[in-house]
Amino acid sequence: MRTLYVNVLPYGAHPGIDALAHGLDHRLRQAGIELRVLTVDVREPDWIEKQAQAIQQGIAAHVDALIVYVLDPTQPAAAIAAAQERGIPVFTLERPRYPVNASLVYPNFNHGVYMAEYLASLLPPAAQVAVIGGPEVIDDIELVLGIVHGVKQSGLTLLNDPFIARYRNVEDVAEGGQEAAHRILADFPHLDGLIPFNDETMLGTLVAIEEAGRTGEMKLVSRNGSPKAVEAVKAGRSQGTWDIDITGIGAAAGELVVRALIGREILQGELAIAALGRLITAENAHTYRPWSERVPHTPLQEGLH
Amino acid sequence: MNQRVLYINPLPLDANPAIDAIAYGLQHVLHAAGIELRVIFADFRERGVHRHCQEAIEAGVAAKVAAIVLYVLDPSAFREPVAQARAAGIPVFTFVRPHYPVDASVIYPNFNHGVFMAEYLLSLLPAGSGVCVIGGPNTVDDAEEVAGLVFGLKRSNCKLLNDPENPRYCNLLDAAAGAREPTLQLLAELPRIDGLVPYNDETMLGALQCLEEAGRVKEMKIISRNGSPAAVQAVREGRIAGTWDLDASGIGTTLGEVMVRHLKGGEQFEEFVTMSPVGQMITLANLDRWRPWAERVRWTPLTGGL
Repeated sequence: MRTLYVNVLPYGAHPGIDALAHGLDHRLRQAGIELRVLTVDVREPDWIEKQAQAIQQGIAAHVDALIVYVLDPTQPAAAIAAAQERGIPVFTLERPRYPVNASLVYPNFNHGVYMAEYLASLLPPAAQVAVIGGPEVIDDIELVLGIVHGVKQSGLTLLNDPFIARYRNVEDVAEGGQEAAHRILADFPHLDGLIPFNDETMLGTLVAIEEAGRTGEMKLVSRNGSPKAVEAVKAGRSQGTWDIDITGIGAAAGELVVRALIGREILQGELAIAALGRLITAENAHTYRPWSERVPHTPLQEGLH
Repeated sequence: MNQRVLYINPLPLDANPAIDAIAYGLQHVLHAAGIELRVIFADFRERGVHRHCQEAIEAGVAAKVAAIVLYVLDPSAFREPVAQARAAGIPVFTFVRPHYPVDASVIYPNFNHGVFMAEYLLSLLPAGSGVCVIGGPNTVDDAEEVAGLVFGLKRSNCKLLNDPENPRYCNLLDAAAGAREPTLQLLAELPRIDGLVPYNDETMLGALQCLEEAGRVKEMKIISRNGSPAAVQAVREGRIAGTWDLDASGIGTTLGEVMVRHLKGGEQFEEFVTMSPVGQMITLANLDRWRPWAERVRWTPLTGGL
C-alpha cells in the first residue's frame, strides 16, 4: 500500500514539521504501508493551488490514502472531494470544515493554559506578564487563547493583547520573535513573566532581552519542546518549554490511517486528539529525549515515482 | 478483589447522566482488573460540601484505600488533604487537573468541543444570524468549553448576542432547573434568536422547557454538549439539532486505565496528564450509529461508602 502526505514546509525548514513526518512515516512502516511525500511550501503565495495540484497527483497515482495538513480549514475542499469520489480515504492533521475520513486535532488550548499555570506557579500573585502571539493559524490562535485564559484564571496581570499586530510574531521565525519582543520591552518597563507563543519566538526573544539589557528580569515559558529550547531551559535562560511530542502527533495520525487501511475500520469524520505532551523544566530536562531519538529518521521519499 | 479505590463523586446518582457515566466507566475498567470501587457522593451544590469532601478524603486515608479519585471543580481546593493522602502513600488521581501535585489526571478537550459545536451550529445558520450561549457554573471544564464556543462564534459570519461569562446568562446550578433564569433573561432581552447553545444537555433540557412555554422553540436551532440519553432523544424528535457526545463513559475508562497501569502494573506517575476522547456531534444524520453510554461499559451498581 502506498500513501501520500502533502507536507507543508521543505525538509530542514522546521524541525517540528520534519519530526512529525518521521513519526507518521514510522507508524506506517510498522504496518507495512509506504509513505510518499509531496512538499508544498505554504509560505509561498500560491500554496493553496499547489496543495490542490499535489492531491491531484496523488489521485492520478492511485494512492491508497491521502494525508493533508490543514492550515486553512476551508481548503483544499474541491481536491479532497475529488479524491473521495474516487474512493481514496483522506486523513488530516487538524480538522477541516469539509468531510474527511478522520482528523487528528491538537489540544492547543490546554497547552496554553498549562504553560500559563506553570509560569504563575513561579511568580507572585498578580505578577505582570506579557504574551507574544503568533501568525493567523488555527493551532497558534488556539494556543494563545489558552495562554490568555490561563493567565487570567491564574490571577496574573496580562499587560498586552497578543492578538494585535504589534505583539505578534507573524513570520513564525526567531527574527520575528526578536522584533516583537523588542516592541514589548519598549512598551513595558518591567515584566515579571513573558510567554513567547513558541520556541522559535522565545529564541528571538532571548536575543532581544539581552540587547535591551534586561536579562534576568523576567521568567519565560514557551511551547514545542525543541532541542534549542531545552538547551535554553538547561542553561537557565528559560524556565520551561511545553514538549508537544511532535513525533507522537505524526504517529497518532498514522494510527488513523492504519485503522482504516489495515484494520478495515470504516471511519467517517472520526476525530482523535494528539497526546498532551509535557512541560520540560530544569528539574526534568535530563529526561528529555530529542525528537530524532524517538523514532528512526529514515529519509522521507519525496515524489510519487 | 484485593484492592479498594475511593471515588468522591461530585453529584448524587441521576442528577447528571454524564457524571454517572464517568463513574460507571471508571468502575468498568477497575473491576476488569480486579479492583473494587467505592463511592462517596459529595453534592457540590450543597453547603458544607468542602468539609464533606475533606472528610471523605480523610476517611479514605484512614481506611487505607489503594487510591483516591477526585473530580476537580475548583482547581485549588483540597491541596492539603490530597498532600496528606499522598504523604500517607495513597496515590491520588483526578478528573480535570488541579493546581497542586497529584499522581495523574484526565483532562478534557473542552475548548475543542466548544469550537466544533460552534462550527456545526454555524453550518446550519445563514450569515448574519444571532446566536446566544448559556454558560455554566465556571468550573474548569465548563469555562474552557464556553471559551471554545465564543471563539468559534466570534470567528464566524454570525453574531454572538450575549456574554456567556456574565452570571446573568449562566446556569450556576448545573442542573435543568438552573437554566430557567438565564433562558428567561435571554428571551426577555432578545426578540429574535436564531441559534442557542446551552453549554450542556441538562441546561438545554431546562431551556427547552422555557422556550416551549414561551412559544419560541421553533425560532432557533439548538445544540448542547454531553450526548446524554435525554438529549439524544431530543435530537431524534427534532427538538434540537445536535448534542456533542463527549464519551462520558470513555472519560471514566481513560482514568481507570491509568490507575490500573499504576495499581497493577507498578507504573509510577507524577503529575501525569492524559486526554479523554474527543467524542462527536450526534445529529439526525448519524443517530443510527450512536450507542448509549450504558451500552459501552457495564453499568454495575455503584457501591456507596467505605
